[in-house]
Amino acid sequence: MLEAIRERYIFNKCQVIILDDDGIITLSDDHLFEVPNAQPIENVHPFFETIRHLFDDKNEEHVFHCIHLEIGDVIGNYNVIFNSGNKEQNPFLVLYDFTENCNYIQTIVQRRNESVIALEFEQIQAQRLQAEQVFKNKLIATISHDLRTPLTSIAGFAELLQKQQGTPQGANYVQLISQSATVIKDILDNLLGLAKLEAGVAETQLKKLHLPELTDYLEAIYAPKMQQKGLQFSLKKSAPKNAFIADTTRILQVIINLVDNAVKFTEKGSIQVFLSVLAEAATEPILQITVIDTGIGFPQEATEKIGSFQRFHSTDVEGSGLGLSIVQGVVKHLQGKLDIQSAPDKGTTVWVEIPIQYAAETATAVQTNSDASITLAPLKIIVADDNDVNILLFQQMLAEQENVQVIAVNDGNTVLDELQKQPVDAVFLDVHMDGLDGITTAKLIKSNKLTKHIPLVAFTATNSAEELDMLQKAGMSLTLGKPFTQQQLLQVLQQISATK
Amino acid sequence: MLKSKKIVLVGHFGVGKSSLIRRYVQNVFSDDYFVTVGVHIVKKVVQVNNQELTLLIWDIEGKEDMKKLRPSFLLGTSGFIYVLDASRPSTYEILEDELDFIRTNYPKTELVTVANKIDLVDKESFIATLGEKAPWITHFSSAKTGECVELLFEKLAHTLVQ
Ligand SMILES: Nc1nc2c(ncn2[C@@H]2O[C@H](COP(=O)(O)OP(=O)(O)O)[C@@H](O)[C@H]2O)c(=O)[nH]1
Ligand SMILES: [Mg+2]
Repeated sequence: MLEAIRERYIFNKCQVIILDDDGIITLSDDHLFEVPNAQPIENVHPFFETIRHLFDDKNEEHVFHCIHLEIGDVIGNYNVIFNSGNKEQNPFLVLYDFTENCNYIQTIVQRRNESVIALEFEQIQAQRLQAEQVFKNKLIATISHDLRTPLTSIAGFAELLQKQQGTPQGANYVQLISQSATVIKDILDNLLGLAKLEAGVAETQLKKLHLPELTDYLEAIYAPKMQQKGLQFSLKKSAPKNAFIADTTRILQVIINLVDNAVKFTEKGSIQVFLSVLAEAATEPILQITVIDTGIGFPQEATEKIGSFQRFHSTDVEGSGLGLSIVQGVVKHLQGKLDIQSAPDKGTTVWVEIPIQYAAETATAVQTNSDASITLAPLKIIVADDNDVNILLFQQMLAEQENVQVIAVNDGNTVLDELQKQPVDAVFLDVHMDGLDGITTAKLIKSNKLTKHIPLVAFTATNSAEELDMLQKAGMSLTLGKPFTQQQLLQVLQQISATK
Repeated sequence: MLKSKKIVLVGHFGVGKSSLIRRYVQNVFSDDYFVTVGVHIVKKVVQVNNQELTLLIWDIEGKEDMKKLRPSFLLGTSGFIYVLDASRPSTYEILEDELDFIRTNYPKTELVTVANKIDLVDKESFIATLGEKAPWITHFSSAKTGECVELLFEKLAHTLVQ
């Protein structure tokens, strides 16, 4: 009786194999699986081959847990005890069948591991999204806001001054203001397009690339800065006579970021910029940009890190600034190459190569849209903005328009007061105003029977589709973006006067 | 007699140890994950310098910590392959400690480190994010595409016969 129980519950789960000193099977009870007699044990399964070396040291015992063996038709997991024997005792193996336990454990561990891995991926995803969010928010918020406000005034005043026909220096100066405003605006647009660039959907805008113009411009904006900081500045160019086209705005963005970076990290010495176009027959021309500074530099590992940046938000090399990662992104987009050499306290050299194109010979006619072509019906309009500069600009741009009467106010409540007093043809509303903001004011105007027909123009620096949509919904059917030109302002007024 | 060497793949669970072995020995891959419990041993005969060498490859259950592995599993090992998952930073967070543990306790054993699942990440930015850990990783593999898998085992086999 006892034997029968033992037979069924213990012996059935256990096998003993006796070996000789050479690992040849001399006896096996074959309770679990059959093994061939008088054969080397390693023929049974590769596992046994891995323990052959243990035969040499006598009186040793090792336990191997949960070994998976497939022998003939029998598949299982076993705890294996190996005893190397001694003078009196042959080496032997004892195997315990743990297949059921292992299978059970397997299901539990499977569940656990899968959930641990899934959790990690969720965390990685969340972190990435957050980092992206933080980066983009910071970047977009600071740059768009800080730049657009002064831009509104620079661009507008420059345009006005240009018309006033000042002294030659004045005109020159004005042109510079105007140019730099355009460039800043382009850069801003580019920055906002960085997301697109990342996603690989950014479009390329080919324009004329004229090195002398480019260097004149760089000279004009950087020479005073360098002088102020006591740095030597040299700007050299070389290019064949051919005409070239390229994504000039982005190229300028690359150069400006590189030079800005150099200026930022150089306290003494010099900054040298070389621009050259390599154009040999049969190959596409290449623009080479080299910026050499004598600044603080950074360790070589860091440059490797920068060199391998794939995503613009992964900027985490201290001292490299945001600029380099923008450059990286743009250069990649332009299918160019970037290389950096830097040594701490010695300086940094950055090389960029960007493929460009030969221009087709046809001259592109510049479209000129004369203000004279715009005629306006008599209009009375309200403009509300809490920034007096914008108001002033607005008024001055319309100074020559005798038909247009402008009522300028600083907040939404005053707009509502003015509307009580007199009928007007349109209201220009700054969106962010102290006091009653533009959106609330718009909603109030639109909810009043007496005023709801009046066209409302959102006077805004935003270009987020969501926000523009919100403005539309608040009843502002037209927009005048900041910065705006006289031309744009007149066009909006023309639309209003046409529907009058 | 045929020479044989024991190779053990170690590293966290789910990094692709079993998949690397399956790719190398059977040239197959599956996206399904089946947790290895205990030890699976396969053998593969390779030619090294015109000689046959039997690799006895141990696939053990993945653990987050080498110290938690049963020492008997590692007994008599000629070469370790430390596998990490390039797509999961937790699998190489304490890489240096793990490698130090192996070097200290198994000083005579060959050790190679491989970043697997390289198909899931951008190799350059992966290396960039590794920073100081990067030099320890000598191979970048994918059991899925087969990239670098054979090379990994075969290079190790070569160092084992020297
Ligand atoms: N994309 C990809 N997946 C892999 C690769 N290697 C393994 N996997 C997957 O990763 C999971 C875990 O693999 P496994 O070999 O079981 O990992 P182990 O726990 O280390 O043995 C499985 O779902 C595999 O399909 C690889 O190189 N690329
Ligand atoms: Mg496994």
